[in-house]
Amino acid sequence: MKLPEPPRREPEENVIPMINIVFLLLIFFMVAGTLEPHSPLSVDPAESERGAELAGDPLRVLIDAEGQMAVDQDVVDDREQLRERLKAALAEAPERPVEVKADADADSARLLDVMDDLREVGAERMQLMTRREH
Amino acid sequence: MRIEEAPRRRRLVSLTPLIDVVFILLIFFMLASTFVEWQAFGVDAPADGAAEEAQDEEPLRLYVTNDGYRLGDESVGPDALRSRLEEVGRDDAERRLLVIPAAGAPVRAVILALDSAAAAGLEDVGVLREEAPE
Repeated sequence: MKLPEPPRREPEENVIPMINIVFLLLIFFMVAGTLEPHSPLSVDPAESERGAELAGDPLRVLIDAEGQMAVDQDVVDDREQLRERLKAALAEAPERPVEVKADADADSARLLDVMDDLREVGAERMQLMTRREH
Repeated sequence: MRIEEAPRRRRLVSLTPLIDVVFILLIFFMLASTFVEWQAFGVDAPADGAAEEAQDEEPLRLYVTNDGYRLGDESVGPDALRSRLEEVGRDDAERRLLVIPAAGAPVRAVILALDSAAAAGLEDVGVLREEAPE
């Protein structure tokens, strides 16, 4: 017995414009967005109109609104730990730039603490990060 | 005579897996990329107050208080800060400015001061801890 051929699907005609759009979106997000390492604290930085370009491969110090601090991915409990972590991180490369990312509502005394500690462990370049204002 | 069938246009490789992968990439980049534009203020923390005084010109001191700014002895609101600093910048762009946040002042206010100083063309800016009056 001869079965009728199953109707051939012809999906390409409808799918190709969709693929085009999806590719465009993909390329947009790849080019326009930047990937950032996961941040252990939620920091909402202050905005500024001006500011310099960022240096490459920095050590990141975070300060959140409650004054909690973190170095790269690790939350530190107090300044003692902060100094130890900074010292360890900067021992190999003292000229490595340090990015301080402080929440807009954080106490500036905390920021000065961190700057003191950075100076103490011999960090040579320090940058205070802000968000570009539009 | 048997005429050869016209060669059928070669079917493209099945598009479905490609679409799957592209969609997954798209979703990944949509979720992972951020559009925050970062910039930074290079902050040099003066080693200590004593070294500052050695300069021949007394640096201008901008105190960041909880309810505004104080430039030298003159109280300045956040709105007037920029124009006031621009006056200083026009007067003497080489003038050293020390930003001195009071305990409890938010980082936002310090950033605004740094931003205004940068807009006024003052380049020699330091951030200093408030000292007990001598």
